[in-house]
Amino acid sequence: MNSQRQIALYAALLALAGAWPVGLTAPAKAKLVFTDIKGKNHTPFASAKTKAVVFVFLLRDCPVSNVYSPEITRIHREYSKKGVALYLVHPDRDTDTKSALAHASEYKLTAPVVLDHGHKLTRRAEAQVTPEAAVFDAKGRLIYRGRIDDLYADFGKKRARPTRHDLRDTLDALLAGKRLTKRTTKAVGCYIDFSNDKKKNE
Amino acid sequence: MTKKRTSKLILTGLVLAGFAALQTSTTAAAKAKPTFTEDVAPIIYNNCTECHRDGQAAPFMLKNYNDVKKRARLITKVTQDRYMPPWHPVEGHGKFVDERRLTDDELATLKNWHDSGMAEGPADKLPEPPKFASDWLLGEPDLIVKMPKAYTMRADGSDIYRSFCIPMDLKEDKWVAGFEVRPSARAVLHHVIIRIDQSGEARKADGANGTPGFSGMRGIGRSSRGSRRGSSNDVFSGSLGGLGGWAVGGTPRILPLGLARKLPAGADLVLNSHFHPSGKEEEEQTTIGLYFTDKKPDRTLIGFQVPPVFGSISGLDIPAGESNYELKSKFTTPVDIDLVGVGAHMHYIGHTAKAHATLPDGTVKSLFYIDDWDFNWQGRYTYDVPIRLPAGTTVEGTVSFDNSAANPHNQFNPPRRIRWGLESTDEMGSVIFSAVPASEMDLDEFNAAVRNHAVDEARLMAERRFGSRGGSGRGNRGGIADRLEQFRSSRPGGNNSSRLGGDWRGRLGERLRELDKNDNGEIEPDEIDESSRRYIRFIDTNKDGRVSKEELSQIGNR
Repeated sequence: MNSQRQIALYAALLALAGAWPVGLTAPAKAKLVFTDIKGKNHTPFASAKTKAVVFVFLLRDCPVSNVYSPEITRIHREYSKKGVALYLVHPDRDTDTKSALAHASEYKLTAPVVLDHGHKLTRRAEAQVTPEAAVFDAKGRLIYRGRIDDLYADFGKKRARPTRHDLRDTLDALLAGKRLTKRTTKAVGCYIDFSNDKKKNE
Repeated sequence: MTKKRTSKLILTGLVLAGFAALQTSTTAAAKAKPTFTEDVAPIIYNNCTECHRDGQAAPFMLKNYNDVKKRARLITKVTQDRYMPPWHPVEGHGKFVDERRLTDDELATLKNWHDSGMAEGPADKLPEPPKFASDWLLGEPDLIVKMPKAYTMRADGSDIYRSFCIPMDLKEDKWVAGFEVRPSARAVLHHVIIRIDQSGEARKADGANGTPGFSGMRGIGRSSRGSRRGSSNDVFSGSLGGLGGWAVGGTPRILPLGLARKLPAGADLVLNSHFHPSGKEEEEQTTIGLYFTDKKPDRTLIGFQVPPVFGSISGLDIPAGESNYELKSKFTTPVDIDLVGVGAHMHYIGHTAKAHATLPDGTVKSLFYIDDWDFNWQGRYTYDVPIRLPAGTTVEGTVSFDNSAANPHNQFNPPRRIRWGLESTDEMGSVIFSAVPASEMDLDEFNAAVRNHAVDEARLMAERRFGSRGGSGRGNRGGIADRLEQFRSSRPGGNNSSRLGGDWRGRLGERLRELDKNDNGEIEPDEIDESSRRYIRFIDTNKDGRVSKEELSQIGNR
């Protein structure tokens, strides 16, 4: 009887665990599917080879965002070999597939570009600014959100060269197998416009 | 439950309303809930749209409700910071034409509009959107010139300062009353200073390394020693260095008081251009529209600087880590003058630039103040009404530098000792005025005073330097050669002739001795070489082309 009750309890727990929404325990994992502007589907967390997933948020007519294009492309090239999946995300509603394609070729962007008019990815990454980077580990946990580096101390305060490379450092630490807790930094750039979002989607 | 929530909401609303009321009470005229058409559009149209539209330098358009609503948070932030609209002189220190400074009420209106949800407002209240001339802003220019070849600005990396020669081949002298700069790549060309080269050196230097232009920011190439003919226009003179400057957002203007700057026959234009990378490769081929006056103006524009000569003779030497290094200098005008314009020049770690006038009756008048210098904005500002300074007025200029690690503009991390020099990582510093004597009859006297100011500054610095050495100083009436010899023997002679560092007096002594080949204590015309001519000018006070023993000892005796 006792053991029966125990089994029943375990069964109940198991059932509960199965019913538990995936999003709450492993926020971005498995479920996440999106299509880039070339029509290719991506399920970044599905591959066992993926060690980290990076979203970089862009705005076509934000000069600070554009200045980062070469560095973003360098990071994409260097880290995609190491198991980092990097995606460029346009949260701007006025950016359509055509203008995003033109922008990508103008600035020689190599990473897949995704439109996020509904701000699903943007909110998941907690991005507020372009350019801003969000790093998820293989389990889908957000471990970094903020600037790519500190090239800009503020508006109009651009350094000769960055003194901190926050995105690269985060990826290096992650790839080195370090245990990371979530870190955020302040990104300098153009604010993402959320004014047209439906409030209930929060 | 619902009731509770509602009351909570009401409470929050009340608190917020109270907060808003509190905020707006400090800026009485700004509404708590402004609308776009009634309140925001007039501010945007008058201050932003001119640059934030198609084909202009600013990045995105601010032409309608949607454009502005989308950027409302950014607009609030950059206007509160006074990063936008770009206008650097501090209010209350001179009044200038084309000021682009938002009032506190306007700032509050923009902020309140964002915070209160960006209402559009009644459509019939929308002001007429501004119309801008698509063509030359001052009408068809008298002469349109263009860089012979486009320069390719790379996508990435640090900013570039490069000079370009536009060969002119003018057969006669021209008087330039105004100009308009038209970049071809507006996103990358940040500012241009137009200099004049009469030496022909810029023409030779341009493209010499295979790429259009030549490096550096001088009116003449690095290799040039041609300060003889080009002297009044090169960077070492107190002049404004040519025709003037233009920066992003600048409005072309015809000079006031019927003034014009001379563009001599045979001279070339040199564009000192500042580029910043935009993230993609861009081609820049600048076009300049020139506006001439028919005749030589009745009054002559003279440039003077405090400290003089870009601070080169004021002993500029900034220790690593020093966050507030000041350089001060005074200039007293012997004749009545009208100040026409003002600007400042410093490099990356420049922090503030300030000038005021003390009139003979003791009245103090603030002339200029930049409290947060940005190397990217080498603006020249024209007073809305020229400022009359009576004879005997002293103009004091102060420039300060922040060589700490906390200054993001510091090019060195960790900071290094920085001295005067021509490279952008060296420093310079002065407040630069353009002025005319109230009466053209006083021109020579004014000119002489400007020249003597530099000589006096050099003497003062030499005095300070020698005076502090072993307690000799004023009592010691020996000739400068003796003193310089003393000075020279006490330190190893560094010879880095491409840079005029803060310790140039030591090098001057060395150079004077070298120049005096026949060792007679005087420097004859044939002993003066091209590279020394620029400082010999200041020592040769009677301008006979030679430096006599008297002239040398005068320097020592002050």
